[in-house]
Amino acid sequence: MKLTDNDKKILNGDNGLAPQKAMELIVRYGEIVGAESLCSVTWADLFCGCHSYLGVANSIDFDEVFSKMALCTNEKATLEKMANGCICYSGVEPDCTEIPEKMFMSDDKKALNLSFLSRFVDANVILSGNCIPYLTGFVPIMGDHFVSCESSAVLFMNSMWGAMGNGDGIEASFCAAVCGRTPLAGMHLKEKRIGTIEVRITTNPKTLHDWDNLGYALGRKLPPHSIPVFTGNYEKPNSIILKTFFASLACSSGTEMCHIVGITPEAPSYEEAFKKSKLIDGKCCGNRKVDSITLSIEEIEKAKLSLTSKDSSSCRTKHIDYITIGCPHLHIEELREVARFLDGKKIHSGTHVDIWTTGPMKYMAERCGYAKVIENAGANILTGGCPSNRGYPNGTKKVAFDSSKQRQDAPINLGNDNIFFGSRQSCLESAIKGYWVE
Amino acid sequence: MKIRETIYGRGAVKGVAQGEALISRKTIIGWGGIDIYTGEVIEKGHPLEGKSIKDKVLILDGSRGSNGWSLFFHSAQVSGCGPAALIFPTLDSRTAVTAAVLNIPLVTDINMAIEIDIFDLIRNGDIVRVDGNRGIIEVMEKVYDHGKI
Repeated sequence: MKLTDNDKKILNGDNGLAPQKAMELIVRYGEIVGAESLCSVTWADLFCGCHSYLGVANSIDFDEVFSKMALCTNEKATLEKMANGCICYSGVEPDCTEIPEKMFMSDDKKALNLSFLSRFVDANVILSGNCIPYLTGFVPIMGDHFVSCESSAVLFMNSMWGAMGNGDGIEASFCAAVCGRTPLAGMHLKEKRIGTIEVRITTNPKTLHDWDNLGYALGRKLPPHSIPVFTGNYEKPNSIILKTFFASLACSSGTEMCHIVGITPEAPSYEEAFKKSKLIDGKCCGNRKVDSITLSIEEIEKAKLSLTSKDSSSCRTKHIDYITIGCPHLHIEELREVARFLDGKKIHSGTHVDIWTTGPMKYMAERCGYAKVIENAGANILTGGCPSNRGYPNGTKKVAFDSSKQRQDAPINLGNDNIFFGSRQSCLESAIKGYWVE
Repeated sequence: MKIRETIYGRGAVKGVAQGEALISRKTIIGWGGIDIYTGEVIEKGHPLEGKSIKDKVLILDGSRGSNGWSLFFHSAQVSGCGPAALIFPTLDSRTAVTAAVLNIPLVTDINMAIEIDIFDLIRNGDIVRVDGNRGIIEVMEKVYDHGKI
């Protein structure tokens, strides 16, 4: 692999131990994928804070933990600053700044989390506290090289406006932010972003829930390493619906990039989506015939049913303890809709409802009065994380989800008969009744 | 032990290691698929559910789900429950990062379509030697109770 003089200096330790160790991992990663060189990363969406997985490091010393878990070394390096020219977001955090008591953290863990976050702030990381960076100012433009710890954000930013980033992994994202470089490979290369498979949408999805189910079912059917190209006559989804669609698709597959013919910039036409290809038998091809798949309503319904309880007979008699809404974090427009539904209603006294968003969206919801309506109904508006990294209230027995992504991460000990998945409307109605309403 | 099969690929992380195969055509989900303190696969309904990645030769095709994919294998390694070697027939960015992070022998770029389907050739419990220096996988001829996968 060809390294620049500056890359070599970093690798040599001229900029300190942390950039050196970060560069070692990036070079190893580059060699594994056969990259010819590295590229400069200008945006990095990270995974900062005292997340529970860090417990394996068995230490509360920030630099020791960061060295072992992010820089992948047993040598203790000190994190000074993230690389010059790289704008860094903290990503999902295990803390809700506004209502920390709802995050079930011990006082010690809270203090440790804040001390970790302050080290990141010192290193020039912005505390973003969300899984939707692209809706809160993290906007690498077409051709910019980014890293992100959020699989749905990678799919969104690659597909929707032609920024360039791979799924990578949390360690590689940290290392890229510390040394400012990542292998010029995968989605960082224009020629690797070409569509590999046509997906014909024939079921006419309309609602956010329809698209969530489609993404989940499709992710289960797509071959590994696919770049799907969507075709068909369907109503154009807006960016809020795509936020959910990309989350469910990315979560149930490994998809990092897709094309929507006529919508996404690298697919102004069917032929462009498969470019470098030629037409054979009226179909667009590269070296081989382009595969095409279609999902039937039955397939989507079957996939959806696999996510919800089969014990429907007892729905009305058995109480739902916990309902989680907002994965990915809700947009202000979604908070408005939730507020409109809950206006003047009361959530069942035995049902705990958490609504997940990010600080700036909550701030707007407060200004508009939506937050007050939602909280008056008895739901919590939380920011920063989600049940996946916070956990569930003690004693939770039955849970309902409005997101297939969050549903797939439901606590294993609950058992499938105690888990419900449905539209946001179903979840909100269930929140009022206290039992599952389809 | 006699060699039953020899499979050729590209050695992408150097080193040689041997262990029992832990293999599945269906890859493991990225978030919450592995218990990071024991190395046990805990993804509900997964063919490898209940089995541990500890000291195994892990053979999977691609990643699935969260960008936290590498983190789970890495955390298990820090807990002392990491795999011994990796075989990823084709790479994606998440499996490549996992190999870079674990820094254990890796053989990849195995042309399954034309030559062989590694998922038919190797079964859980087979003893497999991974030579990351030369890009060679050797499956030993020893009859194991494969169990049902």
